[in-house]
Amino acid sequence: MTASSQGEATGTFYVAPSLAAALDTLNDYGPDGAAFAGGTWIMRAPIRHQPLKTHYVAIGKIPELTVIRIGTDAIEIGAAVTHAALTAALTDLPEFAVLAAAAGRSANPAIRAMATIGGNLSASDFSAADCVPALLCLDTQVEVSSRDGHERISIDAFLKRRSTFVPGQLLTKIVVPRSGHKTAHSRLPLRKAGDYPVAIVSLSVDVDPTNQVRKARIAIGSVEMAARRWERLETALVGRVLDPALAADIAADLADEFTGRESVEVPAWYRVRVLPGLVRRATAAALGV
Amino acid sequence: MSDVSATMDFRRRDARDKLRGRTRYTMDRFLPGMLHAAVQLVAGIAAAEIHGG
Amino acid sequence: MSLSLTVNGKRRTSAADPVTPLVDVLREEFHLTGAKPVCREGFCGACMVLLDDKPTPSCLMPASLAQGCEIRTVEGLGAGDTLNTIQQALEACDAVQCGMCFPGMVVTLTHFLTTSPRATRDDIRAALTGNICRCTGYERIVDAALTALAKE
Repeated sequence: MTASSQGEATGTFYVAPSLAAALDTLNDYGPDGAAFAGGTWIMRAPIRHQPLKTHYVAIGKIPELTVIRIGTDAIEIGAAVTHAALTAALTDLPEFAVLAAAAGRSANPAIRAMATIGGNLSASDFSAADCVPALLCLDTQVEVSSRDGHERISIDAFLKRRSTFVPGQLLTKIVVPRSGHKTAHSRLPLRKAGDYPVAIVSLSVDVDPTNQVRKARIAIGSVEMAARRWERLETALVGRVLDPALAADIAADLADEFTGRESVEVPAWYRVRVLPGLVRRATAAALGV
Repeated sequence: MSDVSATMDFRRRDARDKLRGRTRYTMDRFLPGMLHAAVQLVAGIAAAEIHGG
Repeated sequence: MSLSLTVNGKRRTSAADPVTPLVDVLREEFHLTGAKPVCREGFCGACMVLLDDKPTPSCLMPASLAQGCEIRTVEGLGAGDTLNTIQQALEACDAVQCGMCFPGMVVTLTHFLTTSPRATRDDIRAALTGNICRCTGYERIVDAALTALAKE
């Protein structure tokens, strides 16, 4: 049951009271340590047949990492904010429907109360993460902190660099600009709820009163190993009058750019096959039709 | 013909214990020196014949 | 470095590795075998316990992080030999079959009854998305939850 009974070094688990303490400790532990937020990914390491680290630094009790600030230009989300807390905070902000849905419909209620936004973004191997495509379509920036200070980078840059961060670098804040755009998050689980989605379409559109598209951001999750933007579909929609059936048709024409990932739940081709339908649903939800 | 039903309404007599978490299933028994093993059951060959050794 | 855990109102200590899942400490050291480790990934709900009144999958909770919290397992929900409201309702509705999922169901629903007095069938089903049952088809469990809500 325990590491010590297998003759290995007993691990340590430090609950950091402050960001400075967490960064110092992570820096000291080096590659033998890691940050622990909700822990819902880390604690499943045994069933992935992956080893645990020797030292964990729990960041869930650090006050500045659990605040949500709703400003006039942007909202700021601490990396250790739970899915449940985020959904609750976004209830009265219809422009963030995509993010409220992503945080509010993933997994199940108990996991949403534990799993954090920062963890969702940081788990590089978690292909089915809901908040990743939702934040991708919202032109999000993230703050990465270390003992030497902090840097703000785009979420695209973060996703590319996240598996190369050195020990002592920690995602601390997620900054989402307010744009007043119409947004929606469409996911397809295999059962009605409670399991990993087959595919995710997260969408944010800026339309004029006739629904002509000025700007579109569409992110696809769970289809490939990592979520990404669907730039060709975005470009194809700009200037058009947005309509769910049209969006689905264009998506069907462009879907071959995706190569689904193989997994035990569904065949790879199925993940791509459902994309036009999810684009239709997301468009309809965003337009409120 | 009588009105006697062929079925009877018997309550599960272990329901209370199960609801209280008292029922012990196989996985709940920890005996001293118990060994745990994972067995690979899949032979990898369909309709195989075991010849021995 | 021993862990100090408060379980069903009692202070307990454990010498387990701090990252040991709480479910394993509860079962193997404290012999509270109500919570079951089944999926070990937080999806099935069979390991559910209340942590400061919050339903928590104990397979994903490192024992160390549960220190300083009030841990309630299914064994600590009734008083002595009596069943709590939802346990009584589940018994009355004849909901139990193999029983494997029920400790988790009882924990989730015990909490749910306190937060959602006007819950509908759909609300109850949504609350139970993290509690998988292979035997019953959930209908009698939902019936029992509604019965219990009507009583409170």
